[in-house]
Amino acid sequence: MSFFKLRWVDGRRYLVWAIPLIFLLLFFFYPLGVVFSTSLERFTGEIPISLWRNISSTTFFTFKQAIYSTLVTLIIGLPVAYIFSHYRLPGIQLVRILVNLPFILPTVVVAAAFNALVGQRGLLNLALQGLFQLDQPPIQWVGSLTAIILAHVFYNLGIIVRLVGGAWASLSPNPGQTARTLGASPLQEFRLVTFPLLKPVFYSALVLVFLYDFTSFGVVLLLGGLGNATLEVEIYKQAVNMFNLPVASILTLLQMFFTIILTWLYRKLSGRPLPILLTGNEDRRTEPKTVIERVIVVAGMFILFILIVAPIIALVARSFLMLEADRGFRGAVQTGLTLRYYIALFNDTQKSIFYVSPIRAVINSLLVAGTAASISCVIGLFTAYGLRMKGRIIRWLDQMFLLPLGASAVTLGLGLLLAYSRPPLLWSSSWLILPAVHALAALPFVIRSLQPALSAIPTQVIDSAAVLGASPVNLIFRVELPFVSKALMTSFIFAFTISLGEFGATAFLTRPDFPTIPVAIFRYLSQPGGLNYGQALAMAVILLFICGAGIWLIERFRLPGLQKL
Amino acid sequence: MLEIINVSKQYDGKPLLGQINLVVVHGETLALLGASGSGKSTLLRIIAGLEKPESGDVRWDGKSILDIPVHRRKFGLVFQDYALFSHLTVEQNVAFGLSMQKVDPVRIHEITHKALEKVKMKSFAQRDVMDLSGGEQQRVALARTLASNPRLFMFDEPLAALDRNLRQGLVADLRDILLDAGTPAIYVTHDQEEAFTLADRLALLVDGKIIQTGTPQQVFQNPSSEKAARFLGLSNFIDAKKIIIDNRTYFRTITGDFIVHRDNPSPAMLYEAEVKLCLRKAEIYTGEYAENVITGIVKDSVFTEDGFRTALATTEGLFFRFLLSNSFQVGDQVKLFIPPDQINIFSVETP
Repeated sequence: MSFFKLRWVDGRRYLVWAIPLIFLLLFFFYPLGVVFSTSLERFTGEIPISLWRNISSTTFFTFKQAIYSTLVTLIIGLPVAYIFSHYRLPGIQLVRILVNLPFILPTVVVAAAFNALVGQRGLLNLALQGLFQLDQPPIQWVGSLTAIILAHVFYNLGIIVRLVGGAWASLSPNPGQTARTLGASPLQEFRLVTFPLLKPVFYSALVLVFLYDFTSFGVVLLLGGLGNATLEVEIYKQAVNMFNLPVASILTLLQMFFTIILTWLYRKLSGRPLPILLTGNEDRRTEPKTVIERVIVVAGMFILFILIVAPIIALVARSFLMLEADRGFRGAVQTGLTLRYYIALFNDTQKSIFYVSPIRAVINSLLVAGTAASISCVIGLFTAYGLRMKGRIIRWLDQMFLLPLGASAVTLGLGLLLAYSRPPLLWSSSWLILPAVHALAALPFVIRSLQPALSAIPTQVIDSAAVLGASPVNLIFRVELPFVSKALMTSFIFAFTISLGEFGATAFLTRPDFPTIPVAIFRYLSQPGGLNYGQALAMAVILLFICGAGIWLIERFRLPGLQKL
Repeated sequence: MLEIINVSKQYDGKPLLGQINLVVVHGETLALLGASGSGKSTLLRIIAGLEKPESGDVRWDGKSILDIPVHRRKFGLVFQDYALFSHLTVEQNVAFGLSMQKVDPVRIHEITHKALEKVKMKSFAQRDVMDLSGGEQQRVALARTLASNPRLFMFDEPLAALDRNLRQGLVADLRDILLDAGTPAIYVTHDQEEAFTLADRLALLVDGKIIQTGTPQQVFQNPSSEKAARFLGLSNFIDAKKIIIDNRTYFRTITGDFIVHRDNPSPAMLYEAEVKLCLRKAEIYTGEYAENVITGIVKDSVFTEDGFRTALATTEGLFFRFLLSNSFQVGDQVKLFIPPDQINIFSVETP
């Protein structure tokens, strides 16, 4: 009897996995399965030539823009990584934040920022037009490959600088210097010694950047224009604009195929350790002394500043600047500082493209983000508890809960749309589907933040609490949760900002009368007229501010940073 | 011939090397003995051309080489952490310098294998360097420098990361290799035994200054100052006053008078009235002299291969350490005799 009781008590521990697993099944595996089956059904039927042509040209463009973006990121990123790893610079902390900032910015904000800088109505174009009395904006980048590449560089520069620069800074200078004493010139030192030693990190950073460029959605949709569609964008267009779900499914399958290969490649490459590292806390960085060194450092910082700070400044500045006429007005414009774009957000005028006042989008976003972060933290806690158990199944589950990282938001959005748009599970029309999918997207980050915190509680503490008479429930609420409260706060804030900026899945699932901030920005940007444009930028500034505040909170309260994934 | 003339270097605004003067003549091995942080690695880096001094000059055969970049100086440098090229095989590592000199591949193969043979690593030629042990890696690093046939060898604590047995084997091999090559060498270390084994000449680098140079024997037997003596691991320093009674010179301390015989007496011994004595060795007292005697209570006695390391305290509150041939119990009273030729005399240092 006692044997069975023991087994049952033992098995009961696995119950903590029930909720996370049901969640993953409902919002991840089942939707992906539906995408699979839909595309397979399509394969059995006739496939017209025009469809193949569309698929192959979209695939070609996806690769083309990813290759270009990755190359430009490398060309700019490597010198910056060199400067970061070799010179002690004043204000390096600030520069470091700047380089990492884009990583947390929502794609729509980045797209809006580049639009504000180099778009048709952007600061540069309006300034040049005013200066030289031009009829047409001289910079025609938005709607072209150039804008896509610029935004991708903005996004991924930080990856190169952080990964390659970090490795470079921790690489022992001795092998290189030995090569110099053996007769190698500085160039030979780099080519024959330093680069080969950095190669593993270099390639894994390269693949990661390529992966992000390859799966880019918001940037391409908002900045790429009509003719330039990546697989992700084409999936969206086919599914949402043309309601051609089978074709969208086929594209999704293709997208998943490439993504899985790239993710596998990244995992394989990033696992390799650096061979020779500095011993202890040595710092190889020096003050830039010679004139050449100073010129290199200043030039590098300048490029960085132009690329990362200029778009953000342009975004904020342009949202407060009246520079052109609203739609329907002709003639002279009163240019100058204005708050009209912000004020207009509160008015549900006839020109509004919403059924509700625009500021509702902000409230919707906050509601969705709060719900998503709560769901993510609760499920993350269950998972982190579950991961404290040992065994092969647990290791397997650990890997399984990282899977949402690899799936693109667009894929998930399409899957959920296909899976839950008919009775009995007509969930796609409920706004609650948004926090669910956002929670799923944030879940891997949340787990990676909570799990180390939970396992860092010394067993002696738990044991002594139990010896002092704490019941299992007391143990959880009085001992364990207080221990992980900081990690929980970080997770919540991070999940919150992820949800606020999420655009890919939201674009599929949001109802017209329930827009979130990114959706509103997207709609405003696709509308003509100076007021709509201004309102899009104003919304983007609000989003930028909320995300910035989140990161500031994490820094301010010295919350533990998120684990590297 | 390498000449280092008045070389100074600062690090983060603090002086690291002050007015260093050194000469290394052809075929000579100079050991630079210094504690960690004394600036000895920086001096090597300046000679190699990896760093520039703030002032002073480095000359080779009479000509300044400060403006010659690292890769044209032809000075070999072996690091403590081996600094092997982990992406290359053993053979490719050793061949690196030769391929930089654009030597013909057949010759490269020949020289590489000869160098590997010298360090007893020939059978490892095709191995991955990361598969080797620390000692084996340092042998490869040695062969790599050897094969490139530099004008000057430099070693930056090459054996510090290895354990004692490995170190002794490698020191012996290194000595043979250096003698055989006839190339001048600078060997930086904090280990006296290594320095004594390898050096033709020794230079003591303390706090960024060369405080003494000479053969190992000269330096060890006649340290130039209390600082040098302490650095060499000597202890038992005691203040003394010079007194002359009946034309004989005595050094009076609170624990008794001492007579000192030195073949080359230090200036302090000859000219100064207040000095510091360093009692190097002691024997068990058997004679009837009144001078050069210490009486004390044994505080500690530890067996070593050279004798019993004994600590004793005198009634005056002085504390001494000597190697004695006999073992004592803690608490025993002993009477020791200090041979007159086992006392160094230094000037009193003002802190």
